[in-house]
Amino acid sequence: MATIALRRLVKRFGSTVAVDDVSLDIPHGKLVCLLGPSGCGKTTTLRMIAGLEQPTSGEILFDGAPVSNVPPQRRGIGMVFQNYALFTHMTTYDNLAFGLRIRGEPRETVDGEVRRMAEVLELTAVLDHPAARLDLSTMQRVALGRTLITRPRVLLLDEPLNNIRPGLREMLRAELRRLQLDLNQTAVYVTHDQEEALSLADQVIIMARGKVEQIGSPDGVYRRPRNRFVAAFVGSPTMNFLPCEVTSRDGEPHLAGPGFVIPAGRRPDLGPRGRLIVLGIRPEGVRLGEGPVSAVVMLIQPAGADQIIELAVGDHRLRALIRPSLRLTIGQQVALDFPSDELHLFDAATGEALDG
Amino acid sequence: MRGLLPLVRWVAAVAVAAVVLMPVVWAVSISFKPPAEWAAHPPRLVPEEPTLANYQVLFQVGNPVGVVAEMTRTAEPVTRAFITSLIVAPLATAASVAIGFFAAYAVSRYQVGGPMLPFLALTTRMFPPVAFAVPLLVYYRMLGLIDTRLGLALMYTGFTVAFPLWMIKGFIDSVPRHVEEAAILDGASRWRVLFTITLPLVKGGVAAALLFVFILNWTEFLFALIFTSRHAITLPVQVSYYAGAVGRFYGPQAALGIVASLPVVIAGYVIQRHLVRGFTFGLVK
Amino acid sequence: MAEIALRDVAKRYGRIEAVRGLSFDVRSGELVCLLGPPGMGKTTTLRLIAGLERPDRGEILIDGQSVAGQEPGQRDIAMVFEDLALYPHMEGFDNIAHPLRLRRMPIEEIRRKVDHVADLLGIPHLLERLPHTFSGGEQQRVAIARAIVREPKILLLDQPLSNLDAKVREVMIGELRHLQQRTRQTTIYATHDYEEAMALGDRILVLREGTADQIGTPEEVYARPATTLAATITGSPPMNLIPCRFSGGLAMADGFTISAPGAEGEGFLGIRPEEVRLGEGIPAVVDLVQPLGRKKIVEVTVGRVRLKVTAGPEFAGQRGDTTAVAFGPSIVRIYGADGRLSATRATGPPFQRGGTMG
Repeated sequence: MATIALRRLVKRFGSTVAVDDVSLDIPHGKLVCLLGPSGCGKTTTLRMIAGLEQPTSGEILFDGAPVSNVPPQRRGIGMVFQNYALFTHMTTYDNLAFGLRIRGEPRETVDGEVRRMAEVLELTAVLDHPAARLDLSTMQRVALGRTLITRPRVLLLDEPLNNIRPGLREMLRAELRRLQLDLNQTAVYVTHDQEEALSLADQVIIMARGKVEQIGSPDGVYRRPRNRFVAAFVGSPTMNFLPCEVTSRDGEPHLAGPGFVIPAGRRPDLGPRGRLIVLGIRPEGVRLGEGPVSAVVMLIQPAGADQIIELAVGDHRLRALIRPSLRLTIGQQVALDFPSDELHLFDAATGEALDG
Repeated sequence: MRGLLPLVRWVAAVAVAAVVLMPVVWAVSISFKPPAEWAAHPPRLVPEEPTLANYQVLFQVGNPVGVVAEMTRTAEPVTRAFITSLIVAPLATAASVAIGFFAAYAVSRYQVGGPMLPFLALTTRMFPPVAFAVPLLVYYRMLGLIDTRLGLALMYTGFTVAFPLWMIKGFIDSVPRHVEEAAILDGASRWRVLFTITLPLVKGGVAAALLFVFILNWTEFLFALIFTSRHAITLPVQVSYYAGAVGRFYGPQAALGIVASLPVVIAGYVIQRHLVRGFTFGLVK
Repeated sequence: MAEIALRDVAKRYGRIEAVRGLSFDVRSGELVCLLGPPGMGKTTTLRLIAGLERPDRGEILIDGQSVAGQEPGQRDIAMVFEDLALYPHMEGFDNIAHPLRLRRMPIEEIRRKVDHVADLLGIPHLLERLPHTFSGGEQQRVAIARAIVREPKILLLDQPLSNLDAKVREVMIGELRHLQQRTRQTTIYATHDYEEAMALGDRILVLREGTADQIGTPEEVYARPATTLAATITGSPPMNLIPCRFSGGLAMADGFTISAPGAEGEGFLGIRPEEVRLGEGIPAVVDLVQPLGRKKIVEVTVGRVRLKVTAGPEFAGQRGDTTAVAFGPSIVRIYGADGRLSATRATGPPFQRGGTMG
């Protein structure tokens, strides 16, 4: 078992607050992603879990026990860094064996463990190769294997796929996730790439300016972002935002945007008429063809399985993701609909989502 | 704890500075003292009867005033040596750094001379300088360069050029080639790129090389001693005359030391603001 | 406005043949994307056109004239480098004005032109600042402004967005596309990112080891990649390439069979992840599910074949679950053992040996 809990964690560097009152629970066997733009405090949080940084205040609990006085090497963690930090002058075998050897494990135990790990990671064929000559995907598996062989309670990964070219990155990501699932390994993964976080994690923790903005499943944070920051940060292409005003028509609540009025759907929390809100709609939620919103096609970008079109609605631009077979021309007038179940509504002043 | 640390650092810095600066301060002090105070016991930092005589005597011909008269028998006025040094050192420095800069550019960008050239350039510094003295004497005699300022300047240029080559090459290596190519595509000529793009980006290295070579040239003694006799004597040689003279002339010696150091101090002051991280600001990657 | 033509151009560096026998044309006002993995000769091709390198053989023509004798500065070509190569010691204004100053343009005119491109790219606030204070996207805009301010005949862009993070890149792609539509500047754009290539290119040239694998519109390249490289470098996730033996009008993979009339021998069947349907057809096991918000990438194994499938966000399967997959009746692509597209065929549904299913 390995669960981690952070309780009101704060880290200050001089006068800057890197991590500001962060509390969260990481259940056993799950992969949790810390996601956020650079400088949001995600790496500092990871380093505090590892014990490489001391919290200014707050507590870190491993399996319910505080670890503030436990040095990094005795916390039972394994860490994989951005550049892998393999010992390039050693063979795959020696890299894998390293952690066990420095613990003074007997030779037979080391050998057995190394071969077992090599089997799991499909490294048996390259056990005798010098690490310097391995390709990137193999290096990543060696780096992982070297960390996993010491049976860490928790695996910590700090943007391990950052420097890898697209294409290979997706492959390695999938391999990593398969391995984590099969080993039931508790892991914390730091990334600034929302796609990486969504595709890997059981739970995504979105951070900004040292604070936790939202915690949820990949589907949860995508479908029900708690505020505008999360809504804009998660998802590609980015969610569209339009300013609107609450109004009513035939007794039903409606939203009046730039040049259109659409039904708001059943929303008890919409507030009084005249309230300013921001309407968010994902590019794939925009319906083309019929509807109360009129728009002009400004730009067409083929994107393989889809096409992305940029539309002008009044003075505002928004993007829609549509089937590649749909033929449009620049300057064409089109009608749009924003179905009410695709709407995300945010308070114009605070940016907080209205609970629908 | 935290409050104490800056204080400790400050005290340590002052202590180090005191040790380093003490001889300089003492030399300044002596240079303003009359002979009676030169070796007075107990020593005093501030002269009781400050005088400029030590400085005046350096630049005077004939019998100088008062108590330091004995010295004039052994030393020429320093004016001529001072002027020689003021001509030879800057001239040789400018030539050395200019040649070094172009050589560094050629080596860095075009691998001129192959990978061994920068190393070979350094070999001139690997022999004891005396090893070159005899052959050079022969050449210089044939060329009529003995005891000339031009001869000295040429020699200094040749002996120091390896330093700017190495120092500036490192800086040029770190200027991305793309920055120069972008300027070429903008329509700039090679020369223009060199002077408006590359040079400003490596000026920190050029400044460092200038100062370093200037100090070398200004303080060079051995060749100046061997290759000059009357007309082109430099300041370090002149200083040695004083040191070797009979009797103790601490006052004029100290004054000469101060006078000889001033140009270096001034050069250092002028150049130092260019020394600190010249250039890599703002480059991507 | 200018046309570019390359005729059998080759360039080698020592033992490495960076470009070998490359020929293609760029029409006036067109944006052509050079698409290929790193090390395939994209940058070398741009440098050859710019004149920063000399070809070992072949000819480069601009507006029908060979440029062999012309220095880079005479070709009227602007280039944006991968590292952007801003002049670090010059403020934004001087960076952009640099090419104009070299042309001895009067200062009022320089001011006017610089202000104009600065407005176009939304960077007037950067004109009096040094490059090291710019963000990645801002450096990008200044580099592009410097390239287009003198209205060059040809604009070359070498992976200009590769150092930007995903969100900024998304914005910059849109802006570049707008800019291109407004200026109709003849442009060659090198990238290893298919999204950039598809979004920006009027045509895409897929480069492999210094030769052209394919040149065509984004739609053509996506629908009918001419080689397995073109197939796997486009799409996210990329096309499934299933090793097959073709015989008797059938394609036999290690797990299922499908009709593929006309092909013989060893090769690959190419199927895009969005062309595979889940929940019907032949049995498969879910290997991995990767949610991406608006869709899910599901990896399944059918027999010993592993397939990537794009599913809707509602797909609820997990690793280890059994499901079913079907594709067709639609076009499948057949690649020979040499990796070249040999045919596209309409096909029936896949079935497993011993009986037809789905």
